[in-house]
Amino acid sequence: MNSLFGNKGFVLSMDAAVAISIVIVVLVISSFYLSRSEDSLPKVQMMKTGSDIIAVLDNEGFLQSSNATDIKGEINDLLPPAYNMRVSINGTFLSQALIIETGTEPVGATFIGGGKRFFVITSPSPGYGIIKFWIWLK
Amino acid sequence: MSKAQIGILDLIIAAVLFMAVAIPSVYFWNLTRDRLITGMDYSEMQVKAFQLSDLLIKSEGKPTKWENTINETLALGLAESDRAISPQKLSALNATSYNTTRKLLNVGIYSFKIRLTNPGNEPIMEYGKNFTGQSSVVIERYVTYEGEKIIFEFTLWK
Amino acid sequence: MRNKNGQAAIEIIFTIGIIIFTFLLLAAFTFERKIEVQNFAKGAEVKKDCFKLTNLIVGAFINGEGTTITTKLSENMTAEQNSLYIDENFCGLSANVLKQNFNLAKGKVSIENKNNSIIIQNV
Repeated sequence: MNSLFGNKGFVLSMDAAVAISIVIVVLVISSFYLSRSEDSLPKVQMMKTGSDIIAVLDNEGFLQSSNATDIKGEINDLLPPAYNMRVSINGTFLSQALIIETGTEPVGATFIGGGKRFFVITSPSPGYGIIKFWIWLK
Repeated sequence: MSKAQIGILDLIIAAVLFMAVAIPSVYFWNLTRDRLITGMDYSEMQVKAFQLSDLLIKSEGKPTKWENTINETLALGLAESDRAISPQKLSALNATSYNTTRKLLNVGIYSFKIRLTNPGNEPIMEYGKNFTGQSSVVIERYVTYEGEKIIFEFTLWK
Repeated sequence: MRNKNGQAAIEIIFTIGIIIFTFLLLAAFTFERKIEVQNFAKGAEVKKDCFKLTNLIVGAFINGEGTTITTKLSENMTAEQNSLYIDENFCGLSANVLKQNFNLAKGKVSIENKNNSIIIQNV
């Protein structure tokens, strides 16, 4: 009995079809993998923003008074909408650490940038303090 | 005499299939390489922009009173203290030619623009060249100027 | 029955030649791409080192007198005026703060801010 195209088998065509499928799958997966490279510079930007904010708080004199309401207001003024920030202030002029947060703590595996700054208090009596910050994406 | 013929149709089909896989592979390879190079170039620009903005807003420059003798300047810095911009240094920068500043900052193939604005986006000072290139990186930093918070915007472009 | 002799026809030799030539082309193409990838990866590594060092030098300058930073170089490097050179690659320093020219071997290096100038040396 003859088939429509003779008695030739389809083995070579199947080989080719399987080989081409494998090549296409490899190309698609490698394309997906290559296009998903992690960019670390947004994290650098976030940490620099946090560092700038505490430097500005120091330069404007907010850390001299250590008024939590004022400091929180100033942070909310400066902080870009996409970020949340937590600040802790400790020093010779405080009996306990002052903690200020702008939003809820991050959930899950979120990158959190951080840093600290030392500052000097001149009044009511000379002293020094340390302000630490943590910053993350909302 | 009947002559045999090598399965030429098979060969043509195989050749076509081969080209159908080889040509997209080459194209895809070149596309990926170009994307990688563009991505690396952009990262390089971002690193340079962060470095320059850090230098300008955190350091006083070298010598620290470079604004008095611009010809002896080795490093530019606009700060009187960390992230507090000095009005004298800002004026000196404004009075310095763009090409001199370019050389001092060693920006290489890039161009730059510095823009200081208050939080209401009103301009305080602008210096440098406006963007007329293909790609740019804009860095916004918070600093103080004369005791008030302002935004220091640094654009690096090519 | 008469013996029939086979003959290796010229077409077969020609076909085999074409196939070998095609595979040689493919091999050359693949080899060239492999070299390209290796050079690319090496270039990326060198650039990373270069930028790391320029960032640390500028950082040491910004942080002021007495700052000392230690890092590791993966290649030999030359630091001149306001540029760093690794092989044929170089990256520019944003400030002319190097005390003198330095030749650095790969390995641990220290970057020190002394008298508002930067000194780099192998440790």
